[in-house]
Amino acid sequence: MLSFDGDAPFDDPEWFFEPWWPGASALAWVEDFHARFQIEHLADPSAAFPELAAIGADFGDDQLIVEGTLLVLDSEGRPDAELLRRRLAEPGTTDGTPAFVASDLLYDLGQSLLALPFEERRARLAGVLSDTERCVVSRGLRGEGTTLAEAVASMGLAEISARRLAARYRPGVRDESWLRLPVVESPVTPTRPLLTLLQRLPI
Amino acid sequence: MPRAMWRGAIQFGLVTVPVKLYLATEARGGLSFNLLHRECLERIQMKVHCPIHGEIPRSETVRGFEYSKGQYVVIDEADFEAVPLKTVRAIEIELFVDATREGHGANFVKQAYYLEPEPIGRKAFYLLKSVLADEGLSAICKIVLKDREALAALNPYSNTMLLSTLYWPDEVRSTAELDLPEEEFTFKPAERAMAQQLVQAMKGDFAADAYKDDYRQALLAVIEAKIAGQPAERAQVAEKPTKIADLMSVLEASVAAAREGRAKTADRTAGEPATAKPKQQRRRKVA
Repeated sequence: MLSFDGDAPFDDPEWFFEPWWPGASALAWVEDFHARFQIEHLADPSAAFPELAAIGADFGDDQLIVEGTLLVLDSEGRPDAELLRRRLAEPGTTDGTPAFVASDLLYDLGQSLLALPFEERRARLAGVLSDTERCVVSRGLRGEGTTLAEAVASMGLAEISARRLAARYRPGVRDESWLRLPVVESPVTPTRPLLTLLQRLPI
Repeated sequence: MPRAMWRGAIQFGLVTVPVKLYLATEARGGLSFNLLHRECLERIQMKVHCPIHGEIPRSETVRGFEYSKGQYVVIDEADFEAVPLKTVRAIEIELFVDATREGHGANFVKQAYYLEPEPIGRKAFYLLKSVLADEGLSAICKIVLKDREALAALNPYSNTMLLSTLYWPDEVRSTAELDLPEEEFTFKPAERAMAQQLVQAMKGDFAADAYKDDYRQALLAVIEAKIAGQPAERAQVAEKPTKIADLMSVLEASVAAAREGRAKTADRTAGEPATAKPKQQRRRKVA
C-alpha cells in the first residue's frame, strides 16, 4: 500500500499518527525466523543489511510479513539518509547501525491479515514483536496528529504518517487511508522573533 | 565578594599598610569557545604527548630552561622559592612621580588591581591616598606576583587605590624602529585655531559606560540565534542513543514535551469555547 501526500497534521480520533521515519520503506518476510527485505521496485537490500538477517528471531511468531522502514543510524543514534544511501548503493559498506522500525503486520503465521482494520493489525504486531536494539515497533499517537507533529519537528524530522484505524490493507495501490503529512512549524509564536529572523540570515 | 588574589602590605619608609589585591578588570573581549570534533561535537582532548614515551600524565611534566640549543636545566618549585626577592609579600614604594607628567613610565599597563586595606591599616591607607591625590603624584613600586617581580604604579582611584602593573623598561619597544619625521613642523595660527576649535567642539567628559564592545554584542546575538534555532535533537546527543530503541525513547520524550507545552497553552486559553473543526476538511493535496 502506498500513501497520499497530505497538507498538514490534524487531530482526529479515528486516525493513528507516527513519525515518517526517514529511511527506506520496506516489507520484511520472516520465514524460519530468518528475515528477508523488499524495498521499492521489488529490490532486495538484505545483502546491504547483514546485521538485520537475524531479526527474524526477534518476532514471537514465524511466517510473517511486516511493513516498516529500514534506517541506518549514525554514531549518535540519529537516522542518517546518507549512510542509508551508501549502504544501498555500495555493497559491502558497513558504516552506521541499521535498524528496522515496524509499523504494520500483513501476514502472521502464514495467514493474511489484510482484511483486518489497521488498529487490529497493529495490536497483533505489538504482540509478536518485542523491542530489541535493531528492531522495534514504531511509536505513535492516536488522534493527536498535531501533538505528534510538534514532537517530531523537535526531533528534527520533517514528516509524519497518518493512518485510518479502521482501514484494511490494500496491497500495491495508493490509498486514502494512509497520508504522508509535512510537519508544519509549531503554531506557538517564537518568543524572540528577532533572533529567529537573524538565524535565517546567511552568516 | 570576589576572591583576593594577593595579600601583603604597602611599605614606604617605616609605614606598613596591610592590603589585599583584587583583579580590577576581567577579560571579556573574547567569548571563549571550545574545540569540538566536527563529526560528533565532542570536546577534543589535549593530551600531553612525549615524542619518546607517547602520552604521559601532566603530573610527569617539569619546567625546563633552555640554556643552550637543546640543553635544559630543570627548575622546580624549590628553586623558585630559593629566588632571593626582597619584595615578597610587599608593595615596596620606590619613589613618587608626577602623575600628569609624560614619560613617568606608567603608560604601559599590564593589569590593574584594586587595593583593599585591612581594617588595621585603613587610616594610613587613606592618608597615603589623600596625599597622592592632593600632590598629583603616582607611587612607583615593586611587587612579586605569581613568582614574578613586577613594576607597578599606585594611584588614587574612586574610594580606593589602583595598582597598575607596568612593563619593565626593557620590555617596552623603542619608537626608533618607526618611520617618524625628525623635523619639527611649524603651524600657521589659522591652522592651530581651526584644530583647537575642532578639539573644543568634541570635548566631553569620558564616561566609560557610554562605550560597549559592539563586536562581542553582535557575536553573542549570533550565538543566541544558533541556540534558539538548534533542533532539540541536538540536546539528545548527550544521552548517546545508539540503538533504535533509544530513538523511540527520544520520540516518547518529545511527545511528552509537546503534550506538556500544549497543556500550558490550554490552561491559558481555558474558558474559551473549544473551536470545533469542520468535519469535511481537505486533507489530501489536490493532484
